[in-house]
Amino acid sequence: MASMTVAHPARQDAAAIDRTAIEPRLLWLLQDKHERRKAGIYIPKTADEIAAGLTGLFAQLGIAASAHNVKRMGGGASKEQFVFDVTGDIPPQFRRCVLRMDPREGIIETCRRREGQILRAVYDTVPVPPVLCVDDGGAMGQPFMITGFVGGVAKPSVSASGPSGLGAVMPAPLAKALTPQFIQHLASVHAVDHASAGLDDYEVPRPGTTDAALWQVNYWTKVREMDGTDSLPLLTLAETWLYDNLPICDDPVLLHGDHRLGNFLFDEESMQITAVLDWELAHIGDFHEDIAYSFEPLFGQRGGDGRLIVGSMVPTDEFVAQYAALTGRVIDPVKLHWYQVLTSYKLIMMNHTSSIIAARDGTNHQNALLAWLAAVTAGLSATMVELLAGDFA
Amino acid sequence: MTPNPVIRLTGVVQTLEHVVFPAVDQSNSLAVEQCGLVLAQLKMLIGHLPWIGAYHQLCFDDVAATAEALPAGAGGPATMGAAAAVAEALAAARAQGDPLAGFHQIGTAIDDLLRAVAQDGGAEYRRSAERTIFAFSQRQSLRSRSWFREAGFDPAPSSVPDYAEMIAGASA
Repeated sequence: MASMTVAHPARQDAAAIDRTAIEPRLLWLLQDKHERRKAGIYIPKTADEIAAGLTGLFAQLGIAASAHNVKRMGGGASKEQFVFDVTGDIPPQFRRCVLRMDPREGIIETCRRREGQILRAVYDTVPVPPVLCVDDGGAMGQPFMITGFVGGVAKPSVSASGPSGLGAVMPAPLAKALTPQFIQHLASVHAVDHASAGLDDYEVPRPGTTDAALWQVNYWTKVREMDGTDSLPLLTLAETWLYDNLPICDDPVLLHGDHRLGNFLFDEESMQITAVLDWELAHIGDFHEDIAYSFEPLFGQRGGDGRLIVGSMVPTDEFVAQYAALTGRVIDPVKLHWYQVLTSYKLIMMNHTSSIIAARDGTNHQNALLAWLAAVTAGLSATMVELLAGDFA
Repeated sequence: MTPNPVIRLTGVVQTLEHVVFPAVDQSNSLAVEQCGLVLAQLKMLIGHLPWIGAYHQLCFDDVAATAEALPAGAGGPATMGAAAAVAEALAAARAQGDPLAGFHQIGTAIDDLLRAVAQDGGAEYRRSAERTIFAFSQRQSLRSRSWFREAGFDPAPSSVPDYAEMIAGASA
């Protein structure tokens, strides 16, 4: 792969950077995880235990309904998920529901309360599941969110794939139909008025500052500090490079944070996206971040000409052109490059630190998956090497 | 020793694959998925087993050579302390004789050095040290990609050498 050279502005004064600036709710979650770790091995809950928990929850919430046919769902790499039917006094959109619950530890530590706020904020903007309730852990021992069930598939039924939809290949007609929706939904999320969206657990970076970038580097560096396992000088090179080259964010927007194939549902017959899922990494920041994340090779395929096909659907240049046409935003290649390095940085962080710790300690519901995902770091390192070669080779 | 670990693990895999996993409730999607991952991990480990010692030694030799090749430290107290710590880690790791532990002992000292030079390293020293460490990281990236290629996550698997050939080539 060819190395990439992008000229970044003059380096930041290292001593002037506030390395403690992290969204308070996210820092609290990391600290709380370390407390929960003391409880030891996590035994995944059975469907019967979930059914009993739902009975108690509905009574507690004053919902005159009962849950039936509780079944564990497969797929995904971070949260435990169960689907169930509801009968009784319940609106139609909640006749079938999904319970999304935190394991004791996982590949990422995220907040169901924040996720619930986001889903409610974008409900009229992009297709998302309706939220029935969010619980911080009192009702069933672990934090969870319950949403209405939305039909669809996360990858083409004709395509094999790895965990979380990685490596799935889109047939051309499907890719052609889904691409405009995929980009339109991203543009719509970026256009949400986050100041009046009820996002009480989110902090907003100051426009015209490096807050948006800094908070991200600080957060993922803190994850490594708290969950560090093995040495990885490449990751540390990226860390110092990211701090040296923090970009200014002119206009912070609402970001999905994990916008990729595998994180939306679609109907194969109508070829419509039925739900954008997995909002747990959502935050407010620079729009380049979501675009850079989509450009991570792990989430796409290489075309015959070597170009990256985002989500196995659309080449990067066409993605940029369509996004720019929808939003009027101009992609700054320097900022895009910085956020691509950040994307590599945080993805390696997830797989090289928290994931391995959870697998080692048996604190997740799918420890075999987390142990397998540790291998992702090797492939991700290829991308990081390519991105940093222009500065260090 | 007989039987060797590869034979023992191969027997375990065969039993899991043909007796235990077919008996798993196919409607329990989590259990079915985990079975697939358990099998894949065990099969990858069977491939790795004969090469683990040589692979760790190869990685250790390179990180040790990298630490040795770093220029003499230049800069403030953080940099000078971290540069001295790399030399100490190198000596300790070589004395210890455990390639895996030694790899991370030196690697952690290099991690600390990178943060130190960002803080108060002399400009020329920082540039030189970072380039030396980046060059090592490129080689280590290729080694780890080779080691984990069959996991299926590599962005360009055809450009990655087979690990057995890589290790054999390095020792030739």
